[in-house]
Amino acid sequence: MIALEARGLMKAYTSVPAVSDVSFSLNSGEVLGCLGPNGSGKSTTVRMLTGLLEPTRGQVLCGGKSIQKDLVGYRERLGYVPEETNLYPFLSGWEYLELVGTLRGMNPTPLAKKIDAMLELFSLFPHRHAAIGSYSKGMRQRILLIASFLHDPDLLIFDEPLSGLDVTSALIVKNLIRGLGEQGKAVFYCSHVLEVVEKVCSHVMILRNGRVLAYGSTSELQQASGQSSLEHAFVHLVEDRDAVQTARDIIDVMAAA
Amino acid sequence: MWQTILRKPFARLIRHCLDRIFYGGDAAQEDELDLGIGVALGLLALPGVLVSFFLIDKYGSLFQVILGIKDFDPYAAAMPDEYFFIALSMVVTASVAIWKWDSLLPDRRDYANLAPLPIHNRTFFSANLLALAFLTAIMSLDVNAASIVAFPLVVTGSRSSFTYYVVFLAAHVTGLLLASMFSFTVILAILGTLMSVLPYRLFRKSSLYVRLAIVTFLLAILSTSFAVPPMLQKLQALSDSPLRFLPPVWFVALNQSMLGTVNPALAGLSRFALEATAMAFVVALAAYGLSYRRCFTRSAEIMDSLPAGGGVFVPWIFRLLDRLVFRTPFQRAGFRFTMKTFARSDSQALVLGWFAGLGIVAASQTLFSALTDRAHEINHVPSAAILSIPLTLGYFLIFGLRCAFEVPVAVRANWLFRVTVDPDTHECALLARKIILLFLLPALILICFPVYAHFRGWQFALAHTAIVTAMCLLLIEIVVMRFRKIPFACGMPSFKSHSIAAVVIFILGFFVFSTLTSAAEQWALEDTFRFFLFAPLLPAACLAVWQWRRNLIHLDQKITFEDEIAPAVEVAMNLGR
Repeated sequence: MIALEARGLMKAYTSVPAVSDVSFSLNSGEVLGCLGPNGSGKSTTVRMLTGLLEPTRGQVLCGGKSIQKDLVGYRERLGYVPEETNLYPFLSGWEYLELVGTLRGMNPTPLAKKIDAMLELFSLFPHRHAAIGSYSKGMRQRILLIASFLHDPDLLIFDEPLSGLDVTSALIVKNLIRGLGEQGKAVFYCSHVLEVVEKVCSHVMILRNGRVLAYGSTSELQQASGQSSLEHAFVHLVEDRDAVQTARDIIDVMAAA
Repeated sequence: MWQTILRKPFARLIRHCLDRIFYGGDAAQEDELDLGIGVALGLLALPGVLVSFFLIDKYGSLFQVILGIKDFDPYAAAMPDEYFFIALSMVVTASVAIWKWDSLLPDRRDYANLAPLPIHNRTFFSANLLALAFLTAIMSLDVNAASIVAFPLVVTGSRSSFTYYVVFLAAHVTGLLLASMFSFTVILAILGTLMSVLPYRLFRKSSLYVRLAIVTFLLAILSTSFAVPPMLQKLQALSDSPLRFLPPVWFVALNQSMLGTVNPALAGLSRFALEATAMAFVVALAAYGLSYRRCFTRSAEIMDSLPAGGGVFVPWIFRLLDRLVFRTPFQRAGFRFTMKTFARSDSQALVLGWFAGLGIVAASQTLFSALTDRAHEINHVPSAAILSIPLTLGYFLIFGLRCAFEVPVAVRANWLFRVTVDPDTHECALLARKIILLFLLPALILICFPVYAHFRGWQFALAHTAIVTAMCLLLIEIVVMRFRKIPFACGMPSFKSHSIAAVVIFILGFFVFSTLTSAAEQWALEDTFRFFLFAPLLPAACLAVWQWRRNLIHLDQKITFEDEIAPAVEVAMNLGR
């Protein structure tokens, strides 16, 4: 079943569109990775998928229906982790999750149990009453992750979910994402980290300058580009400058008087 | 050459410290209510302009002729006004220091950014100190600029002697500037002392309450502007008088000494004003040095983890209110978020505290005047002034809350509400109304009713409390009528662009709500027939507002996270749907 579909998405802030003609479909049980260099339109695409931004053209469909027709219903089934960890610094981790759960209409008693269990599993239980303002970046990221799972959504959209996480937490989340796919959830995973996308995602979409450059399973992309790994395929498709030469040039400028 | 100097590292560092003080600190950062330097300086100078303007009549020759005043001595007559200006300048300057409390001294963000650079601790110490000194001078000048220019001209305008004017100007400027510097450095001294003495966690927790206490004290000082000067003029001996403890009195004494018109009882205080100012500087400097050493240079060693707050009873209270008052998930979450923001976020609490403090000052002034003048009590019905007290307090509380709701907190974090809340929810105004009522109704039931019942009997108290409640409900309906935001979760406050108009409307509204209503109430209470004529007007007005609210177009009820006016085309399209 198609859980999420984008048809000809376009977003223009000025005469130059930030995103142009982006189309894909995400089925239940799939993990779709979205890759691209800075400024390729990943975050704009994510915001359109979550309904935070209205497309200039095109549609986002969930279960075959446009999300704009029932945005509230769509968001009830959606779990979202944004790229930036913008949280209310004066709330504790526990209070923030309670706020999220209450806004989603969850009953207080099961909500409290769920929050405690999640905090324990993400090693945040000892810090649950500390203000978020005093959390490290990794701790805030874990709060965002928990907030996205709390209501057991069918569809998850992650924008750089591993940012700031330590090795152990990152491993947990990677396995979690794979597990979510196996559970029948649909996951849209946006990232710069190619190694993770390669391991976690069943399909990949590569954006460049707001357009879809490549779309398919990881093995299809590797075959099509004639490269041995996703990283090489990505570099082959996207990069227009020699990374090694650029690094040498930077060192030369540093050393210059 | 000037550009070259400004580019030097030390000068650049001073500029950074000034930018940090003006534009942000540790806790508030980019979401702090930022009026912009120009608007802020303009608003700070405004009270001096207005008061000087209103005093023209008092010192004008024509006024004296009309009143038949002969041998008018401007120097002596100016003492009460001088007291007011001094109190005002102290309050305004100290308020700025309190508003910028978190950014006056360097914090961890400075440490994180600057410690890795090759800058000596003493260099940063000196740069920040110079920035503070510069800020003190600027604030003192700006707050008093208008009155420094205008007031001496107004006072001495009827005299033709230039020397007369210069002497008054010198005394006025000295008193005002020293008073401003004194109050600013006292706040700095308190801040530095608390940082030096208290553990960091306790300092952060107590910071808000200390500031609220100072705001209350400042407003109390301002409220003495009407009562104290007549007492000073009649003062025989200072040794037993509590007036000697009031800081504005010290600077008035200095001013009067320079003019040669000082009351002998006050003469000793003029020297104390200078000593107090010098002492404040020394203590502030020492406290700054100690806090710098204790907090800033050891930033990396101080544990960052701070408890968020709350207590054992808080969840219980929330659960009770969930059952009785806040029935939907949106209202419950919104209420929790609002109360926690008030309790833990400084800007919103200070805005509310400021309004509440102003209300207390206004009400206490009214009470003081009413008690000293019982002539307006008619047929055992209390004077309009006595009746207006709960209206005054209610007015300031309602507006304080309403204004506080506009002050954003961590506005980028509002993505949470954007993603989870139904944009077509019509509960924003309802939530705001319930929160305001939760603050207001207990005060009316537990304070207003018992106090009036004690002095005037329970029937009178019941009628009066009912009238006050109805008026407050009407005012609440008006202030939340088109409120379609989640408190604190929207961007730029809408009043920033028309703050002057908002202040004028606020003052006019206060006159109508408190003064006119209480006069009408007194008229109505004199006669039973009049009361039954007056009473139905209030529920009728409430009904009219309620009906108007029901007819609001959908666009006016849709939740918003941006404070923008919808383009005309979008409005037309929505109306067409």
